[in-house]
Amino acid sequence: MRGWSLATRLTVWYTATSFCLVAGATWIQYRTLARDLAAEDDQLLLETLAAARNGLLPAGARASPLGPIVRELDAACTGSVQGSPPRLLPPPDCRATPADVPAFRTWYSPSGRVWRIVSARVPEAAPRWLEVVLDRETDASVLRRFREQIGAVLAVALLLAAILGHGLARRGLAPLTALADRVARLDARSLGQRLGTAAAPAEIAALVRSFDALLERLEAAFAALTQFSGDLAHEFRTPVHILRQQAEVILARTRTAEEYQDVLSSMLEELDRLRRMVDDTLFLARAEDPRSSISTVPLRAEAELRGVAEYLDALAAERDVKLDTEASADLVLSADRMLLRRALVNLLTNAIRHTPPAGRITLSARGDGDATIVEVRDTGAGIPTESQARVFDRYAKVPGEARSSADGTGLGLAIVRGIMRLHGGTAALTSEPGCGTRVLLRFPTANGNAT
Amino acid sequence: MKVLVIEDEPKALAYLHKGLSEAGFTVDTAREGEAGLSAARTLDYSAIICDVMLPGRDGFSLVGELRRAGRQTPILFVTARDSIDARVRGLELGADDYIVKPFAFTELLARLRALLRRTSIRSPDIYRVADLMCDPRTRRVERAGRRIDLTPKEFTLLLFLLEHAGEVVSRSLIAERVWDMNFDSDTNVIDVHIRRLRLKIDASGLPPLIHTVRGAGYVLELREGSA
Repeated sequence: MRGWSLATRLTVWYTATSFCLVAGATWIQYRTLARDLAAEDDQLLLETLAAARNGLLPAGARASPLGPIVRELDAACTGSVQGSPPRLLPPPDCRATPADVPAFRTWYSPSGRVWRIVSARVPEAAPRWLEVVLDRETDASVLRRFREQIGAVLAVALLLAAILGHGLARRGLAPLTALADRVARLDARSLGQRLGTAAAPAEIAALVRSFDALLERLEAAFAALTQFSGDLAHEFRTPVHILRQQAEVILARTRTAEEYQDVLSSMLEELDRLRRMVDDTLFLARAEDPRSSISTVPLRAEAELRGVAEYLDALAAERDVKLDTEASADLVLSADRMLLRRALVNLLTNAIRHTPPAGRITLSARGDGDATIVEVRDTGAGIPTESQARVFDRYAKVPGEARSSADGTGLGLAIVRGIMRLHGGTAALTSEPGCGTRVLLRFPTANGNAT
Repeated sequence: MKVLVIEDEPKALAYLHKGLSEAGFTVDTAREGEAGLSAARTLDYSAIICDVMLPGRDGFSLVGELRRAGRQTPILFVTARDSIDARVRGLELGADDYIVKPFAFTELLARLRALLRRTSIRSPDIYRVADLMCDPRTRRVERAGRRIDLTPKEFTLLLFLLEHAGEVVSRSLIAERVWDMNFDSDTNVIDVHIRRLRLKIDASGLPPLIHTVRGAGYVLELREGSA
């Protein structure tokens, strides 16, 4: 049935079921009729036998043209019937006939006719038998006609069931077709629409709900994308604007070589920032592409953490922030070394930026079941609860906090999340305003050993 | 020293030509792969700077062909295709280094010089710039006859600057070579490290040796008139 349309399937099932029901009912009727006719015949035979026994009917007599025939058999089990050629009648059979109880049997003539016979011994005379035979041709023809009519009725029933079934299927599936029509009309502009379960039958409501949930997610993703390209353009606009203005102003009149040098150097710095933004954006695009893959190697967590801390300790010391690392010597971490470093440098520079003097930042790693957790904990200002969910988003801004050009591209934490995605891990943040922030990176353990 | 630059974008080629010439190199140029290959095959270059995306024959195919022909000229790939695959492919085929567009010209120079050094000059036993002395074997550093104590990373940083004395080295190159941080980090981390090194090397009263080149990076040298 694979590949059949739902309407076809329903029609076929409906037709088959209806047909079976009609056919079954008719068959039962037919059987009842056949049984009733046979019972009537047997009753008639018994009555005729009783009449013959009482001498009311002479042997060889016939009550009506098609009625039963009485036959008297002698001790040798032979007998004849007046008026009928004996070879057309059932042959006599006296073997199993008990004393008084009439016994029935059925005989099929070579021409296909059915005969019903009842026989009994008559005790008062010398051993002799009475047999009543009945040609059941009348019954057979009644049943034959019945069968012919049944055939015609069933054929019509089949046709009607198919037509009706098809109509019902179409009607039953109409909500589904309507749903398909509405879905087909959806596009990027109408992602805000919802199909709604009000008009949908219960069976389709679940589908509609799932679909609406999908629309919800798509709309959110689309909005995020639109927001992102908007942010991106905005972020790029600032350095481009600065560059343009610098060039325009400096070209307005003749300057000294020193002034030119100064402006060109400044432009170079701004261009460098633009270049980093492009690099980071490209990196993110790749990190978020589900087809991207990286190869991880087992790394000694302690050495990696220490290497990153060594790189940033001068920066921390300059801000009077203490930077510590904690990891057991034999802890192994599966990661791409450069990506791990990039993530940690991003997190730590962020932490250093937000930790006031005399603060403390701890970079630690520990095993946790089938993963290694790397944690960056600071004693900084913390992040307001309402902003915590978005900190890993691109260009996420903490309210009330201005970002200066020195703070980089605004993609640092988004890159951390991208890097964790590439590792099949997660990045999570918990923060208590006023107490500090903890970022947990979860690196799943790969199936491999330390090198 | 003679270098071959293969680059199809005219503006980029013109500036590479200008910059390299001013840095003291003799520069030959080619605009497409086939011409570049035949030049690289027939003439003896100290190094080749080659764009990956070229009309006719691309950089990967060019380097493969050149290596098959037995030429071991150092090759520096320039690529806008910032994907790890492309890098690996380039290096496997026999390129010696790569640099991703857009890059700082100083970084290109530093990498080019590193390539040339790798194939020719041995590093000296003792580095001397003005009255600064550094012995890599004993890790001893002296300025004006006075011994200076450096942390291991400060020493590595100073050694790197000394190896490139007189050349401008970019922040990202320093991060890569000294701390093995092969990516651009957002902050002024390198500036802070340089500042701390400066405090020890360029003590007050002595002529400064470590200079900031705005928009480019740092250079270690004795500048005339600063004494």
